Amino acid sequence: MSFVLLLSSALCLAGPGPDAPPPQGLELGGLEHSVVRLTNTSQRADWHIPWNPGHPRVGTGSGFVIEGGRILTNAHVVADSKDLVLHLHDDANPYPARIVAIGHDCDLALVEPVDPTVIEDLEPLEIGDFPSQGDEVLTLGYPAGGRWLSTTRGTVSRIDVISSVHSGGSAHLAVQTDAAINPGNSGGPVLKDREVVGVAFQAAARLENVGYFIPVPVVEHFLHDVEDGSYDGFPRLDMFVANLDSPAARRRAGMDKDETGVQVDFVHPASPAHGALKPKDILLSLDGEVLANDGTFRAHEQRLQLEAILDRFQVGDTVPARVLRDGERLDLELPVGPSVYPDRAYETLPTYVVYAGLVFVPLEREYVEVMGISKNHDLLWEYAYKQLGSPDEVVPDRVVMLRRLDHAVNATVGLSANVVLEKVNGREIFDLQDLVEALDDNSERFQVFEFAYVDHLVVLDREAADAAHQDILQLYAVTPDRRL
Amino acid sequence: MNAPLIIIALLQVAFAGPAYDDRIVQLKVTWQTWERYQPWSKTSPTLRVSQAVVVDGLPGQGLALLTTAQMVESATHLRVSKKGEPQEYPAKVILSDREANLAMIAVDDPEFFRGLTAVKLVRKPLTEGQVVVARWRDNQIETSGGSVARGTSVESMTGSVRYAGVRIQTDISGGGWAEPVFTSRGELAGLATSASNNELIIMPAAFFGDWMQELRSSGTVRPWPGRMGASYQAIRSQTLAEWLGLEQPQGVLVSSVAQGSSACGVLREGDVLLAFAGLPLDGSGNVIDPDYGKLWFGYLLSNYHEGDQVQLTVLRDGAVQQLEMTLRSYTASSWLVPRDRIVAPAYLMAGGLVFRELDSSYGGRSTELSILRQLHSQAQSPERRRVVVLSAVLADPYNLGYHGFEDLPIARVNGIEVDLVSDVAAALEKPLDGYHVIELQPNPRLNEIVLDASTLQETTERIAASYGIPSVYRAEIPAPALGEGCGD
Repeated sequence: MSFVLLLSSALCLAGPGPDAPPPQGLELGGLEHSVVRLTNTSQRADWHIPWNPGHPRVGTGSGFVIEGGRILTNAHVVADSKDLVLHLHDDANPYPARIVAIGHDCDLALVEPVDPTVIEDLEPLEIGDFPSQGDEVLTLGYPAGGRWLSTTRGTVSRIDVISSVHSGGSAHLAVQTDAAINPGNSGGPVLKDREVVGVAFQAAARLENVGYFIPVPVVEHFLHDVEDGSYDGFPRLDMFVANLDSPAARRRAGMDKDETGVQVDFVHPASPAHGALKPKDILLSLDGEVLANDGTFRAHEQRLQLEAILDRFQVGDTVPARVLRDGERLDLELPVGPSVYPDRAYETLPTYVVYAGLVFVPLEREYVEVMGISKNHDLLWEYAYKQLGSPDEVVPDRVVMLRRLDHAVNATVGLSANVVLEKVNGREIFDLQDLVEALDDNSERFQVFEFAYVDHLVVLDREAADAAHQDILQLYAVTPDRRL
Repeated sequence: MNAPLIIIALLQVAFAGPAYDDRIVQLKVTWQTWERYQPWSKTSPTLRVSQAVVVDGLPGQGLALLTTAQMVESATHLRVSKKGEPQEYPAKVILSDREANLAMIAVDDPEFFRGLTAVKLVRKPLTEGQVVVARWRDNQIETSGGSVARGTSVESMTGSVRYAGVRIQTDISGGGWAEPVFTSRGELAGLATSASNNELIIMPAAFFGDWMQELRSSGTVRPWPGRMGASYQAIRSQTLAEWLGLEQPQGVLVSSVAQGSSACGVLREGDVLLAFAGLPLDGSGNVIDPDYGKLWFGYLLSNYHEGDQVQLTVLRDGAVQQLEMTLRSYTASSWLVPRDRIVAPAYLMAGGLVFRELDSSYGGRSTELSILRQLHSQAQSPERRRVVVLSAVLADPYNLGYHGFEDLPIARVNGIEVDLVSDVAAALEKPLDGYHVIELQPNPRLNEIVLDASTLQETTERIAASYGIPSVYRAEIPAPALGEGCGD
């Protein structure tokens, strides 16, 4: 995951980037007018300092006009947006724009100009088909912050299921091309025979000529999903499966000689499919696609990961599945919902509670990512591993003490950061609301915090803590003292 | 022109004179340990060159040699030489006490000790002043000056005994190899156990003097108590002190007690340990040592051995109580993940799967092992005495599908909970309907491994022959009994 870079380029200079001359002799017959440039001013909160709204940043990307007076682009081009400006090919004017829908899991977004007449004369690009390996494609966009359209030519070099950097998780069908895709190309169309076969979205950072675009099935899924005005995202089964390359394991499972599939190891208890699909089931097929012993199926004249099958469905659908369970072959309908494992959060602010200088946040994905807890094994266990040992019950959420804002009232408590809060005043704490209530409901002399794993007690004098609270907020410029 | 040369020669006599070469000998140890990932093999033999000091041996046996246990660790052969002479004499370990990091060595050839004399130990604590660090280098004694910095509570490098050590400021480079440290009067003040930058940490003669005395009088040293087996939270906040019912911060709050330890059944979670053997603990757990000043109280355990009793003062349920604690041996080898073991590791190779008992020397690269070591390294229980890990899979058509898996803790084999390598061996005698099913502890990669039971034995033999494994099984040394639960 770490080897892939986002393509949305942040501008370091005030104003537009280096100007390239307009391209000459382009045989696009006017299609180039439908490819636009987007300048997004975004602001992303700092999960280290959860009350800080973060630094505004300016980035540019590409997009293109589709049916219905809308512009398709990447989610990461317009994420965390505070202001969005649209620039057209061969037009020096900036036009205010706004987001219609955004799908962070597939890295796609729809935007429109505030004044719809701005693009009404532009020809929408036609959405085409899935390309084949070796097909020649053309990418259009505004790379490297340039003001003028750039086109590059290449071939379809690979078809794969990959995780998008923007989502930080969700893996979907993607197409690799050697057409140069550079920062700023993000959101631009990839054309074959004047039809859109994909949306450029990321490139491999340490490899040359490895760019990726989002192919038509994923684009259509997104467009279909947002038709009702809300975005539900791609459905997932939230299961762990193990390969069945072992002949002994296949025989023990009762599989026939020519049968193939994967063994279900774990289904998240919050997944709608939990209960319908059980650990130790052998998953033979999904939506009629026979699964190999490594969990792949045949599509586009090659093998793909089974996530690409789930991408055919919408949240709330059921996915036909065939499983082998206790020697019987069963045909199941597996309900699918949005993934329980959250992708990276956008357009949200961190939630937190500061009490007498102790800063509490939920043990959630953004915290985990920002803090890099891979070396903090208490947190890693609590966040990632505990659930694996609890196949039928959802492990409750937890709150952690993010940091301590030192003050006479708290400086001698012995703990400073990144510890799991277990109880407050004897009450078990699962979320910030629990914490607030446990503190507010207490009229005893002391506020008592118990931390898990480190076996540590923190005791504050309630009146002294309450009295110091405002001072600490002022001293460390914390406003407000909570966001729930 | 000749004058400067003369001065240099005089200086050499003054500094490198023969004052120590009748008390320090050179020790050469060939050592070899077990391969972590191929526990049936030993590593390449290596030579360790250090020093030992001449001491009085066991009664009636003349002189002997003393060094740290580190220097004779994993030894396959020992030899000594004296006075920079080329002749080497075979030597043998009388006792290597890894818990205390001390070793007594005998040399059978009486010729060796001719011209050597036993060091005189400084029995009073080393609290200030100048010292001399001496060692053998290139057949010459090399000395460096040093000064006593302060006392420190140190845990033995090879075990879990904590004692009052001394930090020495010195300019010796690459120390820590049992270099003897002498007072200006030529008496032995301690042995260097570790070094960093310009500092040596030494084990004072006051500590090993007692040890030698016990060894000489009884022929052995009674088992050490190791750690007390409780974990503590410091009481630094006035508010916490008041909440606990104390007037001011003092003592340490007991946050957990390990089964099988001395504290088990004596201390309870929530107790405040106020005093150890009558010495009051401050809020950080320090006591005032009459010689070294403030030290973490754990070093006081080095005054005791297994079976001794210690008086503890605790605050429990708002009342101060005196408790009698009988010390048990709760040493590094009795933990769930034993620390720094030199014993041959228990393992089993079956069908290409290498099972190994986890100890701290194993390493292991998986997140699962890291979590296990951090969260549970001392939490031994009767159900979980040790941890068995799938160390590696020796690739073979028989175990196709599981190649590349490594460092995963095992939960069950054929439905039977396993926590010892011998449990795995026993469970593999009871296949489930013709298959062996190895279940792993929760991890995102793999839940279970299935092998064909009917061909396991012949396959194991074939893989052993192919990969050159002389023996496929080494049972563990039984872990010490844990005793009853700790109660409330």
